[in-house]
Amino acid sequence: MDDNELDKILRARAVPLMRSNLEHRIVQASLSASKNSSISNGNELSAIFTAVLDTLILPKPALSMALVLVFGLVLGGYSAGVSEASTNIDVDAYFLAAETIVYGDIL
Amino acid sequence: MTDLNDMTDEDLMARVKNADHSAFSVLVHRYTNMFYSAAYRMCAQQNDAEDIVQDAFLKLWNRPQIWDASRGAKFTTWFYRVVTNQAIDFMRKKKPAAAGDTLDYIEDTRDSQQDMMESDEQSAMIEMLIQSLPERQKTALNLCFYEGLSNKDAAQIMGVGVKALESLLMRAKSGLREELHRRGVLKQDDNGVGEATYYG
Repeated sequence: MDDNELDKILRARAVPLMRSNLEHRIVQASLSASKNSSISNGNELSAIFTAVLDTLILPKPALSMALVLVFGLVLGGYSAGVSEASTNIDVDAYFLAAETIVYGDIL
Repeated sequence: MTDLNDMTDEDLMARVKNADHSAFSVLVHRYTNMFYSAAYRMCAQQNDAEDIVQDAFLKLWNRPQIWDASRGAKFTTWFYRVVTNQAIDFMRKKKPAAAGDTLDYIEDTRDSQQDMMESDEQSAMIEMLIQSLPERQKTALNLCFYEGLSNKDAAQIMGVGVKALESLLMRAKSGLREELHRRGVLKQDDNGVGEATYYG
């Protein structure tokens, strides 16, 4: 097989002309992109707020895990404190009630 | 003062990194047509090719730091890579790869070219056949055969070794040759040597 014959046929492939204003369109689009970029750069407070918000909304996996652990520990510790306190209250109330029942009539 | 039009691509890119829009504009005017052709050969659609080139240039403008001069690559070689990847992404998003998709794609292309003159039929057929090649074979053929890049540069753009690129090229041409035989465009003579039949 003669490669030249194949190459000749492949050369018949044509590319239609691009629209004449494509370069202008690209340059204009890049100017718009620059403008948008400078507008967002001007509002630094907004950028910081957005960054913080992004961190909160889309936390990194390691940060998420750490926060869940800390939250779990705090919640667990708080629950333990509450249940201990409520147990003490219940025991005191029980003894007070018992004393009232047993000695109430005598006193 | 240095005329921007006389500056090398690499010097212009150094200015683009400093947000010099005039330098960017010079690069756009210098290379839009060339990379439009490359994009068209990847997707075979005029509008898509224009969008691909525009997106590639905007990516360059918005993130010029992706160009690393210290790597020693020519700007055009590097930008071929940007455009080629952009075209591949574009086509994958437009038409996810699936069995049988290639033929559908070919038929769509033909429908849009029905008003072609008879003398352009061969060009349209070649386009169909090339578009039906596997993606990597098509990219290798486009870069080496149509864009005239060296095998080394094409291999660098595609992120493969030179041997692998040569293998892709060989398979692409072999596939096209077989299909052209099947369609009677290339005929084999008694010695097994191909003979072209031209339309128009």
